Amino acid sequence: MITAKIAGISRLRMEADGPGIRTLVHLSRCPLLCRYCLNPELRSGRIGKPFTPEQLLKELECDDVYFRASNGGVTFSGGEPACRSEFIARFRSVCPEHWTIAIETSLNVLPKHVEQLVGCIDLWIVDIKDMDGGIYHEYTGVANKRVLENLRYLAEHVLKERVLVRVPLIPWYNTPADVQASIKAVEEMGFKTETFTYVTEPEQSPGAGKPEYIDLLGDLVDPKAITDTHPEGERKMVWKKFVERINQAMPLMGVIDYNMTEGDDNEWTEWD
Amino acid sequence: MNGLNGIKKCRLLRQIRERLCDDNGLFFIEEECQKEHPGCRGTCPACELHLLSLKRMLEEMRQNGERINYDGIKELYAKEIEPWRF
Repeated sequence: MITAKIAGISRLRMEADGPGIRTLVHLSRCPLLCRYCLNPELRSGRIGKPFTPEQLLKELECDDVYFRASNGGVTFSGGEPACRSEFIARFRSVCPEHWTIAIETSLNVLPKHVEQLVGCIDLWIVDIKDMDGGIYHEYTGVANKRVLENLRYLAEHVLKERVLVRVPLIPWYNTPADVQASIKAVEEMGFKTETFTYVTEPEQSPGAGKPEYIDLLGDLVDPKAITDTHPEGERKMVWKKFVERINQAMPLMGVIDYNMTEGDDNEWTEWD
Repeated sequence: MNGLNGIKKCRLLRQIRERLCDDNGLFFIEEECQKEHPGCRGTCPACELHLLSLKRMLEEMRQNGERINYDGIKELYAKEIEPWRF
């Protein structure tokens, strides 16, 4: 049985997360550790109520009249909804054909998820953060290799009109010049872009001093970047450091009751 | 941006329900919502009840094999709302 933890459902949103009247569905879990994340409680995947696609459909179908009137439908958000490609694909197959399905994603997921979603999604809203690998890593704590691969995959397999790439100005992490460079790179791939500025809390402002967890995550190596060609001892050390730092950083980022562990139980590897 | 404020959203949703009833020969029983509360999200229980009642009427039409006309509400929405663009 396919299930996904749903942390929130926001109905009757108009022209906000895609065309028409839409229902925004927040799926739990995210592999990123974004500094200005609006829903940090969704990172661990522990929050939310499990739904099957059929149960979700039952929950949302009350707005069918409005979806029909407006060419609206459902927008999956997160967390990182693309990690739940199987759930979304199943939902697409059971929901009425006239509902439009959109996804708000970072694209930092395994390519298999994007491949599965290509046939299901009417509108991709991609938050690219920054195309520069260094800035991306500093802001999210992970590498953007997969993002770039998946973006190239979309360029080859999806109509460009179906993709909107959001390029944010991230206070303290990138500059307007960086944003312009990202826009140029994205537009060269044929996608449309939209810029905006991330919302930050007063305590996140530059004047408030650098948050402690930035130091914890700043130089952290993403274990996924370490391949099988690296000696086993080195891989183990990278993982150990990663797990230790994440567990130290989470409470400082406002996420409580979080304990990442290595191995099978590891939420970072589980998605693989 | 979640486009409209609550009162405007409430009115638009009500218009959609009314038009759908008109176009399909259904009896429209709603009274104009008198609320002016700034915190209204356009989704109060009264509106939800009307939506539920409409849903039942449409289901009945479906079961009777009658065709439901949605063209009018599409036209209405397109006229009232500037579409999401990117």
